[in-house]
Amino acid sequence: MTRLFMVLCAALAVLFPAELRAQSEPSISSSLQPNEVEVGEPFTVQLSVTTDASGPSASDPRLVLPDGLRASQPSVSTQTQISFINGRLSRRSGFTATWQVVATREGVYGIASPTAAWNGRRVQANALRVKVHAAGAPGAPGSRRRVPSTANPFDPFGMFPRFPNFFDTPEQEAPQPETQGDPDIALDAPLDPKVFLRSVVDQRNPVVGEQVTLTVFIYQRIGMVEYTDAHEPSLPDFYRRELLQHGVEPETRRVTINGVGWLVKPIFKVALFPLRSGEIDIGPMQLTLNSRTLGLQSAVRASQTIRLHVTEPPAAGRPVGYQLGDVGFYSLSATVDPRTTEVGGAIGVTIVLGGVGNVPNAIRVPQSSALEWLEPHVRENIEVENGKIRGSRTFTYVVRPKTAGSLDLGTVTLPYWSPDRKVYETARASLGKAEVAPKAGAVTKDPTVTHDPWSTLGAPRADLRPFARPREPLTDKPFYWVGLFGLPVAVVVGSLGSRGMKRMRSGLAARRAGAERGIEKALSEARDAKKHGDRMVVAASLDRALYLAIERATGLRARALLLEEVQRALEERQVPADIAAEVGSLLTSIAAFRFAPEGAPDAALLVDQAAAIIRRLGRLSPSGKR
Amino acid sequence: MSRAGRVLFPAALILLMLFFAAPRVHAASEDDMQSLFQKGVVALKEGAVNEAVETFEALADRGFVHPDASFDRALSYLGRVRAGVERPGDLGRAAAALEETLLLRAEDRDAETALELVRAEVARRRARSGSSADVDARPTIDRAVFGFASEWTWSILAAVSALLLTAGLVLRLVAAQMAEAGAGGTLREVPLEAAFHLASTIAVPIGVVCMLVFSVLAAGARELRLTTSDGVVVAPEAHLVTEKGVLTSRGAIPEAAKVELGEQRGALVHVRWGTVEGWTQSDAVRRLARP
Repeated sequence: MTRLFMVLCAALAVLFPAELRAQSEPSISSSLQPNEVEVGEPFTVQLSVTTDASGPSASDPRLVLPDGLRASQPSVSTQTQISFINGRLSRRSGFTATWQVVATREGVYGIASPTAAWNGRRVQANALRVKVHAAGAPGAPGSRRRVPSTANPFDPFGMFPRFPNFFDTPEQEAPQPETQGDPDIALDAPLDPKVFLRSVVDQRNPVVGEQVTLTVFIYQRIGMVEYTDAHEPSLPDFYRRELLQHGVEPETRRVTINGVGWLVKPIFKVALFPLRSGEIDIGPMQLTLNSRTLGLQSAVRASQTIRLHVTEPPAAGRPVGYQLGDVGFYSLSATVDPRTTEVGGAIGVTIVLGGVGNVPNAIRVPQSSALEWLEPHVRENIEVENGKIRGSRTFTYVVRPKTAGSLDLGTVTLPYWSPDRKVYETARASLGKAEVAPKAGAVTKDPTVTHDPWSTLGAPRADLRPFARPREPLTDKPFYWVGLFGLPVAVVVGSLGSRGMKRMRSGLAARRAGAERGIEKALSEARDAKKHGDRMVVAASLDRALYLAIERATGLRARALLLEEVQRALEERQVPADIAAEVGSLLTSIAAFRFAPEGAPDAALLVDQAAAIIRRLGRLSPSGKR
Repeated sequence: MSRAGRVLFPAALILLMLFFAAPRVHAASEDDMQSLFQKGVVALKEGAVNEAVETFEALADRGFVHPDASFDRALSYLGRVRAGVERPGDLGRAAAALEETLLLRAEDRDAETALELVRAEVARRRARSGSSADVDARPTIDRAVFGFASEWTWSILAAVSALLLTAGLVLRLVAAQMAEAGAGGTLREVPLEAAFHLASTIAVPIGVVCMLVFSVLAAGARELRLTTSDGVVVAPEAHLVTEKGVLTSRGAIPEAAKVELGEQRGALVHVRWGTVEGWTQSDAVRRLARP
């Protein structure tokens, strides 16, 4: 039985070779390299899966990472392996998936087993472990070891196949250091997925005349980028000096932003010296970009505008003679040669002003009536050292002594503001003394020395000639202003007053004329009614005529009064008593004529009486007096 | 003598003495001034420039204002410059004296020429020392406008305008009265009324506008005269400071520059020089004397 079992096993082993048994499970493994990195330093995770070529193939590699690790898309390379062992031919195929992983914080990470799909299920490789140190930490491996693949600027993740000696050497020839900690180019997040410009200044609160270094960087993801149509930033409020040397290619650096590698290169760098105080903008720089790799064609990118808050150096303690803009650190030195000459001769004074900053282009020389300073010859030597403008200006003067004797040439000074020490300082150079001998000959050949500009001055005046003393200004006299405005105002007021009076008078006259007409009309109606025997109309007309006459003579509207009151009211208005009595009597008679015709006076008599009394009333003044 | 008499009599006596003595004192003072002036002239002619400067300055300190005295004072300072014994500010003081001369006698050509020489010398020195050579500045806008003519001229023009306006108003009144009386007027009065009306129509608007403009100019010139005065920088540079005396960076006014002086606060005086305006030490400028 045992023999039979062994025979059967041997027969099966012959009929079903070992490869067939191996086809049942794929060969899968994973690896991690290196297993100790710094934050931001990429490392690779590889998953290799091989299966028998005649069986189902593996696919869909997956890598699940814990928080703190980020991976790129896997780079998958396929492979086929043919072996001929012991006369047997075996053929296996598979793939290798490579992930580039970056840690965003330090720690020890366990990475779950990478998996691949095979025959309807997922097969998994071994689990992995990586230790991540803080960036730049002492003893961290990142500073000593770099992933070789990062040397390839076209493949920062090392996803392309590695070709020996292709991208290994450039790391040595054109170093592109990984500058994680460089604050100039470090960023929390990229400003554009592919390429962008970024302006950086070394300070934002300078004083007038203090150097501000402006650098514009181009950040590009990968590949070659050509740029055209560059527009430099607008800098109208600055004096500028170039810091990038012509013909020297600026260094390209590498920086990791959010775990992704970028190439960074300065394309514009100037030293700016603000010319005024206030809020001053540095305009954007603009480029038109083309890159086949990045899929850019005439893409426009611009850097951001930067606003500087420029102030003046403090007013407190400002030395006399300080010129706004003289900022930096300066020193003065002077040489005088010769120190012995004669009146009208020449003394050479060479003053060298040197230091760090925008070296002032003028200095103040000591003034003296005994010396004449001719226009200086100025030479300058400006250079850049460690990104700072420095240099010197040499002022060569010819000084002409105008008087003989031992002349003190004085001291040359330059007050300036020291931004480092935050104080005013003064550079000085003493010129010492010069011995000046009297002029040997009476006549000098140099007309400029003998020319006396004051020779045309008038002679002293021995007499006090009369002069016209200015009159007292009219404007100091009060009547002037009163007269100035009073005259026209008086005419206007007078005109208005006269016009008003005239209008009042004509109004009164019109009113009088109206009353006169009413009386006449009423009397006329009374006479007509008398002829027709219309008693009521006669009475009414006479009433109206009388009341109008009273109103014209006294202004009294007597119709509102009782008959008995009329006489008294007229007397109160200065109407003579006899007239008042007659008016009262006549009104009573008219009333009687109207309501009790028996015994009443005759209509004709009433009309005559009324006309007579109206005439008498008409002779009275408006106040009622006779 | 009563008590009141005892008090009043001496008082009246003193007043009487003063009344008669005052003109003599004035005459004596005039004589002193004359002799001082002659002393200065003699010193100047003999080349004793320092003594001449002191004499003419003493004359000015006593309130003696005369264009010839100012001119000689300027020559004294320039004499120090010529003799090589110049002191800082001498050119400025000479310029101040010459400006004073021209203020009192505008047609003085010698003073004008000398002033040009002084300013040219200051400009030359400043150019040599690397400073701006500008010594003259444009007048401020208000001074340019109000100073286009004298205050007297503006006031006369304003008065003439007021008279024109008044005449126009009167003519208008007369014409209106004539028109009212038109019905009873003679044929000769009709063209006269039209002429009056036309004259008033022209005179009134012109009078109103001119009176307003010229009275504003007269008032502005008066205000400028009362609140400001002319001065000249008599220091190598008049540095501008804040009201608290702290040096500013608004620039400095060069020596011999004519400035407009305003309010004075303690040792500071407000100055305007073209567009430059601020406070400066009052001893850096000299106020020009007014007659």
